[in-house]
Amino acid sequence: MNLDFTPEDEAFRAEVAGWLEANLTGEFAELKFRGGPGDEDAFPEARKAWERRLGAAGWIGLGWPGEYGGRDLPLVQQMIFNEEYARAGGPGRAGHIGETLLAPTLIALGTDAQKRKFLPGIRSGTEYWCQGYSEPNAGSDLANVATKARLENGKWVLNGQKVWTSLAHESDWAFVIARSEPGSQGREGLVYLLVPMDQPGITIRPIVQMTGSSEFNEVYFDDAVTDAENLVGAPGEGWKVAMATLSFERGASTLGQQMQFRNELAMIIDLANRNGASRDPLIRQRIARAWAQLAIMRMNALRTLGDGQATTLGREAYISKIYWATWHRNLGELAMDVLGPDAERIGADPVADRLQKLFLFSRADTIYAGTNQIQRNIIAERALGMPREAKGPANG
Amino acid sequence: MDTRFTEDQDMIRDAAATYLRDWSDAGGFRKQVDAGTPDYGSVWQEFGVELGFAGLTVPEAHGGAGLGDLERALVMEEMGRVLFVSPFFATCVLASDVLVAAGGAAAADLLGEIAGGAVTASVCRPDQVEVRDGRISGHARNVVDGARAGCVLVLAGDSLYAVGHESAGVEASPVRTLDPTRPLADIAFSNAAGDLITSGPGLGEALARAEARSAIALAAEQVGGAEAMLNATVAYAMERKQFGRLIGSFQAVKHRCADMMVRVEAARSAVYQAAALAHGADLLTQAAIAKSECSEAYFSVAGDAIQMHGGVGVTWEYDLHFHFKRARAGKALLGSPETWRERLAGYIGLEGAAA
Repeated sequence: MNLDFTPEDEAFRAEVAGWLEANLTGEFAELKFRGGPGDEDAFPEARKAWERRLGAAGWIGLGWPGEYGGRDLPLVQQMIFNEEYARAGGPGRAGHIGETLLAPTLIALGTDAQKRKFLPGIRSGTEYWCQGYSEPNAGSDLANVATKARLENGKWVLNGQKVWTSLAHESDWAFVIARSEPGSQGREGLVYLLVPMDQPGITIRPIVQMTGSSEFNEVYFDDAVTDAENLVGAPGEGWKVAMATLSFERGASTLGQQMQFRNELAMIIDLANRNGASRDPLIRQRIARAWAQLAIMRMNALRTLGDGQATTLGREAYISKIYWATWHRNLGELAMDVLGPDAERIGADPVADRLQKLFLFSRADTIYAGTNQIQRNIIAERALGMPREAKGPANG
Repeated sequence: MDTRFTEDQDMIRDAAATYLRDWSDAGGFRKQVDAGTPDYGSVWQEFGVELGFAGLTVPEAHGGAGLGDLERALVMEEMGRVLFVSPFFATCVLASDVLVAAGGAAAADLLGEIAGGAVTASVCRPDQVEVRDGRISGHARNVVDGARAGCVLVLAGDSLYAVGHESAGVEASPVRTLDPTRPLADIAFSNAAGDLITSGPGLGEALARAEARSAIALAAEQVGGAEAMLNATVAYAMERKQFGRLIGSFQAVKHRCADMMVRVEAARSAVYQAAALAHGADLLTQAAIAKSECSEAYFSVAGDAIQMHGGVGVTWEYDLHFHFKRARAGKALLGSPETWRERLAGYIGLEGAAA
């Protein structure tokens, strides 16, 4: 074990930092520190222009193989890019679902034609993706998907409803799991389809969240169509492909997320110093503990990434989601306590506005991508080998 | 950057684990605790001298193996699992770290003796200490291994002395403690002859680094103990039946075990990171993170282990309470979580330190 960076790594870090400093200016200056979780509806067009700038400079697909336009960079340099990006205040990535979830799935399981068709748009920052997994009756129980897909005259025809679809209204394509075998249940009989969003069979309704903003949507399929070749994997293998996609969530980008957390924590420390909350011994303890646990999160992610060659997940990988989600939710509460009575005032101070959003949006952190309760089941059953939960009959 | 352990590191851990497992199977801490006065003799001969762990982190120039904080953390983690009772912590952590930080010829000589297993040692900072012509008077409380260590390092102002346990004017009285696995003693010094190890205004800073390194080692021991408690709890939940089911099949139990594992793994990340960075500029920050989080984790996981065992959890017969007591004692040793967090608050730029 050695946690030091090589001179090459440091040179790469300087290159990234230099490029960001030179480019997060002018029309892009207003995007700094914007568009992250809880703020994903900020500046949608400018952030897409920024994605194209990133793509043109070769900063998208850093870890992809060269044959798909990637740079084949080692994990440590992908991690450095993400850290520097967040440190510089790089805006929330409008293309992250395509780059970090769909692209690795296609590289691993897609056909050559699919790779040729879809990877260049992601790589250049010109095509955007959303994820069509959850449904009203398939939340924690994701395998209970009811959206139907049937193959008809060389096209897949979809009917049903998705929900909690991040950025659907900003996306060109969705990757969707749907039930292709009538009467099948659970993980059997599913397909994984790539579906164009701009078509009459698709209706998108934004969901207004407790923050007042809306980043999630309901997506309705009424005879929506996609070409037969836009199937990833074989019919019936949809669950396997969908789980492969989720496994890429543990990529180098988690370190970028942590750098965003660090920016938020730095904002709270600065605020505490300005408004005197830093003199409260209990606040000091809580801020110090938040810092300690953020440092732990980084090492935990490094351990997870370092085990990349292992065939089974280490225990550190299993704790990642519940640990960061709970930490971030606590950070939101801490932020409000540091603000004190002024925490109530809307529009009075830009820092307070950011922290209010953090406080409210972070309630979703312990719910999406596997609630804390589901995470505990996963940890107990898969990491500790305890008995699995009994399943009831499929619900409607 | 590589977070995997090297083959050498795995070997060191395995060598320690193998010995400690045998030690535990042969009666382990129970035998030592029941004896009232631990029998360090055979343990130190085997583990310290024959296996060479006495010199683990002593520089090679002084006859040690010259390994780093990370290797020591792995060994401490294994010790923590089995509640190892030995001179290792006082001698090869507390005293050794102080001597390495102090530097100089006298410290090097003593380190050489430690590495060879010839001497065991500890460290104390007596209250109202007076030194006249190299003769020390004062009273030190709660000295780890204070009644057993062959040599006690005495911090007095800007000076560090070594005092032989058998010297005239040294009277060590064992203290009865809640945690019997890490013996403490009070030591009264009355005009006791001390050998000066080092002296000077830089000593305070050096000792702060020594304390940080020792705290990281203790944190590693706490991770091992916490994991032992998690494993014992899961094993119990997978054999104990109530209502016709394994209690481990109840979500209330599963979720508590999951939370215990989260704390154990987070603590492990904290201590590996701290140990891997202990040689650098981040030492104090890393020690603050590791010691505060690992102390909290061990104590809460040990408490949860008792709860999950139900009635037998509070009996003397089950080992849980020994971990619970050691976890409690370890929180206060080398700086409480609150103390380290207050330091950390300063390191990360929070202004207006509490008075």
